[in-house]
Amino acid sequence: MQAMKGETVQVIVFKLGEERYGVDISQVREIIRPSQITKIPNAPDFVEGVINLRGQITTIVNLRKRFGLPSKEIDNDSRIIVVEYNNAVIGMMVDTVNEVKYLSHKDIEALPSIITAREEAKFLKGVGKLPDGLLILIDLNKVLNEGEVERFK
Amino acid sequence: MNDYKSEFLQEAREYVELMNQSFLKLESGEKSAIDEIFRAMHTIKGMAGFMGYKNLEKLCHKLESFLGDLRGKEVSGEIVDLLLLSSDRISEILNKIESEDSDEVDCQEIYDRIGSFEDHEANENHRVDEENKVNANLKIEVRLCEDCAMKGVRGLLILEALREVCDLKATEPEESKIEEGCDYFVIFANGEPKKVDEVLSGVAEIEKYTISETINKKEKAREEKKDEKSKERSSPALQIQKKNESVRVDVKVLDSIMNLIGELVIIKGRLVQISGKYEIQELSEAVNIMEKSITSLQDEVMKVRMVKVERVFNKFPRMVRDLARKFGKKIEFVMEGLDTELDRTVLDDMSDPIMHLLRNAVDHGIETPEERKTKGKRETGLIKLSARREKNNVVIEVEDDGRGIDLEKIRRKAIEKGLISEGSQISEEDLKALIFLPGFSTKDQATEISGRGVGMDVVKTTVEKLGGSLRVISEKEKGTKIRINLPPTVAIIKSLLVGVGKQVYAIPISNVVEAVYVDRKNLKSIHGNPFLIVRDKLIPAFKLSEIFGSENGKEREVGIIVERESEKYALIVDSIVDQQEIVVKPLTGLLSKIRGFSGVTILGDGTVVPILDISSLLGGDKFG
Repeated sequence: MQAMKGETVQVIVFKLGEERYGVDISQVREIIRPSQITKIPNAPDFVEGVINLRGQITTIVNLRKRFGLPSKEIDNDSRIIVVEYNNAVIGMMVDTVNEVKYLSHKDIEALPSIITAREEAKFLKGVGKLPDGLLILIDLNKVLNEGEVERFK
Repeated sequence: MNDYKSEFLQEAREYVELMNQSFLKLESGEKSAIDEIFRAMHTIKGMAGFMGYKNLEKLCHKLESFLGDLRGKEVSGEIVDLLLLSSDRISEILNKIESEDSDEVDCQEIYDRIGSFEDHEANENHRVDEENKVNANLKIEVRLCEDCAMKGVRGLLILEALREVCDLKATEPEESKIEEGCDYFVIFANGEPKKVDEVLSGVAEIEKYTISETINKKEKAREEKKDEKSKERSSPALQIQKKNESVRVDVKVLDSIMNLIGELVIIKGRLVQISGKYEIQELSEAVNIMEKSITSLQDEVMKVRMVKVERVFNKFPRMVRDLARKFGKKIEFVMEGLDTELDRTVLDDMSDPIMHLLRNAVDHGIETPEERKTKGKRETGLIKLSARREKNNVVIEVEDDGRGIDLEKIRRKAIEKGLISEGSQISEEDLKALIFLPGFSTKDQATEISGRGVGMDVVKTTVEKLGGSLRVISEKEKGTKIRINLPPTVAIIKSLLVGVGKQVYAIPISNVVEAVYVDRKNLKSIHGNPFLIVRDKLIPAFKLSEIFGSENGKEREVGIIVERESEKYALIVDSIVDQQEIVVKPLTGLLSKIRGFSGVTILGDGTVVPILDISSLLGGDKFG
């Protein structure tokens, strides 16, 4: 990637099953290993619980459940991507975090509305084309929005 | 200028609040109140002038001179109405300044009403003019050219142009004379000399003009008078400073300090745990000392967060008065215990519920004067709002001597709504509890502000959310008393830690009555519903492991008896882990609307523990 600065975005690449996803690095605060998660009864099912992140209560969203994928036990590869969203700190549990990639804007394509209109695809923002394959970019706004949650129910 | 704006707004609002209180004093015959109002109005006017809010300045000015005329005269209810309306309008302007940086609010109504009150004495205008002159900070002398063709028009044009940049107070000769045309005139105005200069330098046919800044003679005169009359006349700002030596702190700063202390309390717990584990004498000594300091620090910050109920109560007399007038009732409103202290957040949250209870008291409680007369009561009804400290709680009571709660009416309404069946035996307490159900109102016709059955349930939920409780004491024809018990603070609470399955939960101690062991003998199932028998009483039981969907393998369980609205419930848990002071951390975002939990806390060892919210956990109301 020798595209100029400003025309590229840095994305953190993570996996859910066999699929590769990406999230804009500017929204990511840190990546941690899952620690002790306290379950909150009555929470939406995709909310795994809360953790104590250096004194800050952080809600953990299980992205597999959020995307309607079959769930998977936490293992050594599991990671939590901590993002800052709407002044709240939220962790997204993913199968594994692979790498950081540079994506040029011209390599990002919006998904056709016929896809995004589908219930299971509404969290997707676009597709990034990398030399070694495609990368699905997720839309944090939709993944973590409370309003979306209520409509979802 | 923007830096000053927020300060200006805050101060102006304080003065408006001060005025509101004084208006009511004025109505109750305290004549000296008018001086307080006058001073407050004058200060707002001055500040508005400084900030360049002409419309506000004008309004205050009109009111100030109106007030001046009131001195020593009888003040009627209509005048107080007008004054209250004016202070509302000022608040409105302040809001607009805050949101849009504009003070353009139509005040013509007030001017008209002031006009209708004012005696049009012959020299009235002149007097105002005189006052205006001494009020102005600029004296502008203008001499027109000898050969100026239409001096009158030119003069008017100059006045118009000046109006754009400053506030014209008076002219010499009068404006009408200038209109007729004169070579030389003097203008008294409030504004910036530079701007005036810019305007005048651009006007043709002026031979010469001078702009001189005058010292505000009125202020000066005041100063002198003050000296003569000593302390009595000192400005309100000075009085406030003298009264309490305090610093203004942004509430956000206070909140973040509170959060930091919360962190400290958590870390303290952790260190205590560690030192207990290693049993190093020096370490435990140091930890002990630190523990003491942190505890006193915590106490101090708690104290800082405490504010007098006065802060919120002060707006109620005005409200009760307005409502009483609206409903045609005569009410004497008494407030007691104004210096009782309550946590800022608790107090702020209680503001609306108390307001609602007062509305109810005015609307439903107190009868019309005629009705009261026929009942042999004093024509003027009494509403009392009081606050006091009782043991570890703060008690707030709203009391009226009105018609009381008609239990028979509630019963009929409840039958009508299908909440209870005809002829069913139901205790008075239970009937009273019905008024807290959403949508329950005995008032046949909903009025604009109460009787819609919304509100009482909100009052109840708010109080319970704050960890308090509420009781209704009422006797027909004698009156109603609503007693609210509140913990003085919410951020750090004492709690019982209980184990359910693999997880620990916290129950606020304020909810807990007692704990009993559970065995086959005292846990019975009646029609599929579990009940715990405690001293021969049946208490509805809830197995937390079932509610939370966690496995339970314990043979010997513990029943925590909790109280909600004077009803007892038993929560069955696996074990009691500990009793501890915990810091409540609210759940945010995706979890903010969750039922059953008021937040979470972090224990000494770093684990996160959910805090049970008894009222929403047990969900639905008995009859709901």
